[in-house]
Amino acid sequence: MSRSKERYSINTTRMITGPKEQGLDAIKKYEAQIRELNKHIEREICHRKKAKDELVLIKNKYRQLLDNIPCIIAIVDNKGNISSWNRYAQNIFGYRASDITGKNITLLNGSDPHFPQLLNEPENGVNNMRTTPFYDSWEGEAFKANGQPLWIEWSIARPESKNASEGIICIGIDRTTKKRIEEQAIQDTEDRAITHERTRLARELHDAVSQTIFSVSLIAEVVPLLWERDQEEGRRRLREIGQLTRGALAEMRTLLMELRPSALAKASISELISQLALAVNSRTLIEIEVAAEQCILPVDIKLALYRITQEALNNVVKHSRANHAKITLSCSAEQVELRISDNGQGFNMNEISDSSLGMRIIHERAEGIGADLEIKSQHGCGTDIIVRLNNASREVSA
Amino acid sequence: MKSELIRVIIVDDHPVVTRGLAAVIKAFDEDLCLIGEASSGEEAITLCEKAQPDVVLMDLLMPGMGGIEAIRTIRERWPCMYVIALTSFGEKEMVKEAIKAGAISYLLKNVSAQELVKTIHEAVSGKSNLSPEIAELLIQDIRKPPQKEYGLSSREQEVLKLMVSGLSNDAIANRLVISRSTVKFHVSNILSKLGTASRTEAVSLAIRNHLVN
Repeated sequence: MSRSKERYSINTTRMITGPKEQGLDAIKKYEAQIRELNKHIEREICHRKKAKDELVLIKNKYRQLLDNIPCIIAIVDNKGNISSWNRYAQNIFGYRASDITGKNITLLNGSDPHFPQLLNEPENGVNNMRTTPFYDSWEGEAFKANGQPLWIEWSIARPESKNASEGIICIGIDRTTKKRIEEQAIQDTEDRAITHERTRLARELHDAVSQTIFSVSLIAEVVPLLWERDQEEGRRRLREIGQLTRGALAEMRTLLMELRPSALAKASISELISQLALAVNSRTLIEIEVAAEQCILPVDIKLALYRITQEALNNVVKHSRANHAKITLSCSAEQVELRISDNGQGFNMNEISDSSLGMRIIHERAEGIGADLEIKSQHGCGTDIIVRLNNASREVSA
Repeated sequence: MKSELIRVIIVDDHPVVTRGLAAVIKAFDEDLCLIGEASSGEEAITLCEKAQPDVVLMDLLMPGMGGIEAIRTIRERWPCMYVIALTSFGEKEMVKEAIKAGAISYLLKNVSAQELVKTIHEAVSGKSNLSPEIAELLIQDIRKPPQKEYGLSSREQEVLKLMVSGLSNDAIANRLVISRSTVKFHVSNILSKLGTASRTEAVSLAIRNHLVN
């Protein structure tokens, strides 16, 4: 600017000191300089006008972009007060720009910890944000003007300069539908798990308790008839009723424990094994001998041994055709050993299917507690399942 | 005059049930005689061939071929044997299948010993008996107005139900968390399966024929 002043300034000293001709020349030169100066001024005005028009154009484009982009865009000051709010935000939240301008962005959801953290706390918020220009993003709940909930993915565009007047741009994407689908999927998975568990319990109730009770009811009904004819037979049937009822009770207790894992965790391992044996015996009439020492074991180990016994007995019932089984549990300071043996038909170890669910569970449970698993079986010679665990009595919670 | 003994076999995969049923047959051994036990449909067929019973007490849900298939085979091979279905399950379809397969009677596992014995006696005279719950179920089924099968999928039934409730495609999409175009696709399938030209016609047909609850 100072250089242009120098270039277009008029030398007034020469005008007053020269002769007449010189004076006229000087006037001509002066006029030429003025013309030149005018041209420059005109050019400059023209440039400024053009720049102003372009600025208006850019502003309009910016506004158009802001209003038509399918994102919520709110510009806030360093206290979180909204200075600008696009049309999309207006449609999503139901607040008009005129209603929301000047209000704090935390109005959208006061319980979302991100806005206060980013905007209201100087040490973590705006002041720091201004020195590090990048995007921060999170997802959170927000509410429409009518109170309806939304799920918004927010991004904060941090200003690149320290100029406070630039404002902070909060960009939001409406993820409500996606969130609903995700929640529905989680709900569906939970529902499936509940249905699966209910089906399992219903099956257990059908396979175990209801069959036993039906049988007991039939025997009880014919006992008077049998008693009249043969008292010894009558007594035998009454003992049978007692045994079946105790078995049904054991089945019920096992099922109730399955429904309350805390009860399962509290019971001792010998109690759990005895109960399983009684229940299976009553249901299947397979004689099951139990020799379980009172072992105090950590809960995870106890539950794993219980599940292994349960699966092993299931296999005895389903596949072994055994009429006798024995469960032995012995504990010493160094080792816990669980052994489930039966006198059934056994199987060829090479033919056992990897897909056998029961065997897979036994393997996984043993592996889970770091125990050694040994399975011995042969056609016609029964099956032995042995689980050995060293140093089992670490933290004890009986 | 003492009538001939009725020879019975029990087919059940729960030994505890077999034990109770055996006690009943033993208590009535003046008329009934237990000649064998089986724990699967396959075993039952072999046993029937060998023992030639008069009556088979057959559980339905068992591993292997299951009770219904065993009833069908027994009735085809030995039409003079009577099979009594004895199960914990009283689902309509299962009852119908068992009766179609040839079961003469259908009893639930809450039947009394007396009723069971009566049913065995009636079976050899060709008389049927149903547990009261099963009789009720079948009566209700017969009373229900006949429904044409339109072959709607479960999703289409869901959409139809919401259409009957007066929901728009957008509202249905919102409710079922599916896109509007998917709803339109289902609606168009429903109209085609019901053989209707419009949404209103489909809704009216659905209400008239009790297609939705």
